[in-house]
Amino acid sequence: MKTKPSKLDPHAERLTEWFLAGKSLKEAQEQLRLDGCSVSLGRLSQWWEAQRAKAAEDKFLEQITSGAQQTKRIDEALKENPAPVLQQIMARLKVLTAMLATQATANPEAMKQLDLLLTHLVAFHREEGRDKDRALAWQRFMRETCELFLKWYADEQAKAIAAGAESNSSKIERLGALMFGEDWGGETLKS
Amino acid sequence: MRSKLKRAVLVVLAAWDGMPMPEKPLVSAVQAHARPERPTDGDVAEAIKDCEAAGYIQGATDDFSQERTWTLTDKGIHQARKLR
Repeated sequence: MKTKPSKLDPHAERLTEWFLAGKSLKEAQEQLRLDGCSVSLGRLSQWWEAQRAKAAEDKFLEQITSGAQQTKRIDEALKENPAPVLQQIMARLKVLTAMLATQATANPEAMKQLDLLLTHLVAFHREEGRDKDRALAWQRFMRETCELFLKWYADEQAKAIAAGAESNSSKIERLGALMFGEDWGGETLKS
Repeated sequence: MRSKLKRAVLVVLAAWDGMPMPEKPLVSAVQAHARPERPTDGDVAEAIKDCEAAGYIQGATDDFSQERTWTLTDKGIHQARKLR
């Protein structure tokens, strides 16, 4: 709330202190007069009313900005392409956050609970992402194994190893070295 | 009252930090801002329309949720700064 400049502004800090301490308008007026600033009671009352209204508005708008920051956190968590159901939950959570942030009376406990809910949802979303990564890695491993099998199926050396009379573990070692070359960690794994 | 509500629409959206604000929270915020007066939903809806007509704010409706959100335009950002 924009307030007009006033000759009382330089005394704002002291006046606020006096009024919050319970000083009456008359007492404040007298104190100001002794300090060389004369003002009518009506004007002093108007000024104090405007100051209080501005402070209340500042507080209310800060509460709204805090809700906006919370909403940004939700958007941040949504960046990683969550499942549609999670998107719906997050969208409702955003509206709820906005509703809470715009209440006339702040409700810090409800905001805290909402924040906790968001933290759990983000954790759940990350865990889900890790599960997907693991499943993807397993799919890739199976596909690559099949590709390698096809590649070496026709190889004479591989055939000779597979048809040999050695033990299975020995065949695996030799086939592994043949197929993967230096990448084969058979010896390392054994030791 | 009407101009007070229009001012509230702009300062509330400015406080919402540039993000689209769902309509319901915007209405309740403007009503809370106007206390002790008690504007109706209709009063606030009129103020929102006035702001839109003046080019201070723009609305969008989500295709899936059918939810309407509001943001400040550049002109609205400028005006909101002047008001604070």
